Amino acid sequence: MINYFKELFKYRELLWNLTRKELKVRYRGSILGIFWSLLNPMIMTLVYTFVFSIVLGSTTKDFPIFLLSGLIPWNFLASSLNVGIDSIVGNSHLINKIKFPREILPLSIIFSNFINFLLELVAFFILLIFMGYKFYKLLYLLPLIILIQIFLVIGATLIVSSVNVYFRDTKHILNIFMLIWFFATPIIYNIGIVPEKFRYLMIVNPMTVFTILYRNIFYYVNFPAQLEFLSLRTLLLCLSLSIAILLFGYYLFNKLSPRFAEEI
Amino acid sequence: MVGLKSNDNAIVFDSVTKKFRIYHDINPSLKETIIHRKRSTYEDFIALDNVSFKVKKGETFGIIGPNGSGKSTILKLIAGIIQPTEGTINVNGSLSALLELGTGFHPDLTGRENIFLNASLLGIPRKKIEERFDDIVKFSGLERFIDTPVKNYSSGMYIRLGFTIAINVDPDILLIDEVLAVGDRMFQEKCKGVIQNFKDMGKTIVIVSHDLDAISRYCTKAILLIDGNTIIEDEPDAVNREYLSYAAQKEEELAVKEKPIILRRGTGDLFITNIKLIDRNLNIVKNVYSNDEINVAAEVVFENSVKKPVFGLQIEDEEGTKIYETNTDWLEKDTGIFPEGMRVQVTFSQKMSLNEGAYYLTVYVKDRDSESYYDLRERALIFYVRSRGKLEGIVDLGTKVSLEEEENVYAVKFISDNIPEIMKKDKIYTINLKIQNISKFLWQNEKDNPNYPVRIGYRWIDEKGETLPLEGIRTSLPKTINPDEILETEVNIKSPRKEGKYFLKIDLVKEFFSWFSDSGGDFLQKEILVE
Repeated sequence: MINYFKELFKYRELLWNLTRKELKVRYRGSILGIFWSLLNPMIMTLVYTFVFSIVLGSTTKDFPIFLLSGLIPWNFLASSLNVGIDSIVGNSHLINKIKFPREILPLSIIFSNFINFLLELVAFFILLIFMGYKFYKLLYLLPLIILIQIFLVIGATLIVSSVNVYFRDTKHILNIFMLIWFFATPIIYNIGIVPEKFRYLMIVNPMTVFTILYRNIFYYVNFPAQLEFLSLRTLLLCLSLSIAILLFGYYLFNKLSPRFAEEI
Repeated sequence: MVGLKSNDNAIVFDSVTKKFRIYHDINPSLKETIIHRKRSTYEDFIALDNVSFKVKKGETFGIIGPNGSGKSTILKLIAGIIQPTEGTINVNGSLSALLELGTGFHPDLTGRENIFLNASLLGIPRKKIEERFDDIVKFSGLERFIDTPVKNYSSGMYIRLGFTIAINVDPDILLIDEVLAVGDRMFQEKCKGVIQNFKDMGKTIVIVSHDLDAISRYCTKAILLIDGNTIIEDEPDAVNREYLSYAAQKEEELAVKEKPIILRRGTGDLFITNIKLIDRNLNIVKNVYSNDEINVAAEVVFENSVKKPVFGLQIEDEEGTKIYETNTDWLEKDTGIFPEGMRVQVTFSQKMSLNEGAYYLTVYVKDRDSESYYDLRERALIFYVRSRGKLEGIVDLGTKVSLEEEENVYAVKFISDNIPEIMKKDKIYTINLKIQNISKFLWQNEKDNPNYPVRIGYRWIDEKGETLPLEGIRTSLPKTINPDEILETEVNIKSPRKEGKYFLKIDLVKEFFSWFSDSGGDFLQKEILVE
């Protein structure tokens, strides 16, 4: 175990270089550069706001803030999984020729998405300050939530990237799964409108818990009466599920990675 | 087992077997797996079969063998890229693998960025690269292009950068897979220097190659690998010999196997026989060096009269890809009419600018208009090309073709003589001649073939160009001479009866009347003053 982390530590520069490469290649050659990453949630917000506030006549106050507080963390998960699933298969030339800890590849995707996530948050903060939101009141909770979400993201990405080597239709399944997951998470709606009997089912989804927490920090902090209080049991369930997915992801990845070079 | 592990060994392979799964269905689907509870069908392919060897520290170890023998599998196992199915592998020390140069370069990043990215892939700390950065760039010779995205690099530049990074890892063990032959000559020399440096520093090197020269130049020990089995482990020259004899044997097997099913079709108006490769020294060869001037010779026997046939040759590589074809039509050589019973020697001479490997040779004669084959000797010959350097692609071998009637190809080479420049008139001189049979036929003497013997004759030609009436006798050959054989013999020559300046022409004659030189062959002519 210690040796494993030692080896991984030795390759920290590779992780950093690949992360940088990922970011550089993504934005090099485009005029708007890094702002593309901010444009995506902006457009999504505009579309959803149009549909919900104007077409459907939703009364949710400051709908864009309501939406972004859930959408930004979701995008971190979704883009990590969607890009990360190809991180092994798409780098067969490296896998076949060079020995290095294979998890570096999905991890570098997660890291680059994480940096993107942070940039989006910073932009979001500016928007919140502009809107006069008191988000700083609960901000001390943010690092902890992000950390636990990272556990989930790493675990899930390791699972899909390694399984994809053996079953190439994992990607199609993931696409469908992500669509269901998105709507099963209260991002574009408030969990309060979900019938009681489904709410228990939804709470098993760690992303639901994260979304509620993020939304408390960024949005409901301005409307204290609406703050959602989660039971300790719910929080512990979310924490243990995230850690379980992380551990299972690592277990599966290490089980499958020695044969990557042959199966790829 | 741990107690037995010796620290003198850099690499220990202990009864290693590696099986690969060859899937029949490339992309297994999850549905099938779940519903049918099975993966797609597969076969096990044994790439390495119980292979054991030890590489001592400081040794330069060579692995040779034909394609698909498992050489690269061994390197991948040492590098830890794949895991053995059975057996154990111990590697003692850090290693750097030059399995493919330029792996991991990202086309959109500059040379500089790729150096750091690639170095980190190999596990080299950034600091170390920063310290050596200038040396690395200088060695690669890419100073001017270091901030250019590598997608704009030529393949040679790409490889140079890759090699430079790999050798700067400063490993205890260096694995090299067939990369010695890349780059231009100057860069190759540099690489050789680097490898020599590694050797001098007492580092362990494992080289995989089918370049026998490289193996014997660098290695202190080698193994021959065939079909996943170690055939021999010995000093490089012994292993190379074994490989060559294996290749020769394989070739014979191929020849034997192929003979009954020789792909031969044609109208039967003529037959192609006796296809062979002849080098510049007129030796029949099976292996050629690339860029050597090689003649492909074949005899064509006409059973019926044939008008303006097209003589052609074709070269295919091991995989059966046609690499080169030429014929008398394309070369705009007019072939004329060949009467029934005629034997013709057709010779295609070209520079064998081919990459290393095995090649098949096909010779054909076809009709110019209908394109139907009179005779087609598909894959009549397999030959091996060994390289003296890397070639880029195959364009044109620049074939020249010649057609000679079979009767004409008796030829002699006069190597030396001791004919005096001044002779007394009307006297008999005994001359020592050294001649060589450079034709492809036996020269039979009178004893062996009294009807058609080969003899040495001479003629005197006076200043006016008139041939004097023959006086002396022709000298019979002492024995039958094989092609290429050199003969030293005595010839008695009678000088002219009158004084004056004469030319003495010495030639060989076949069947009493057919002078070799009459058919364009060589003869010996000396100017002699007769007193």
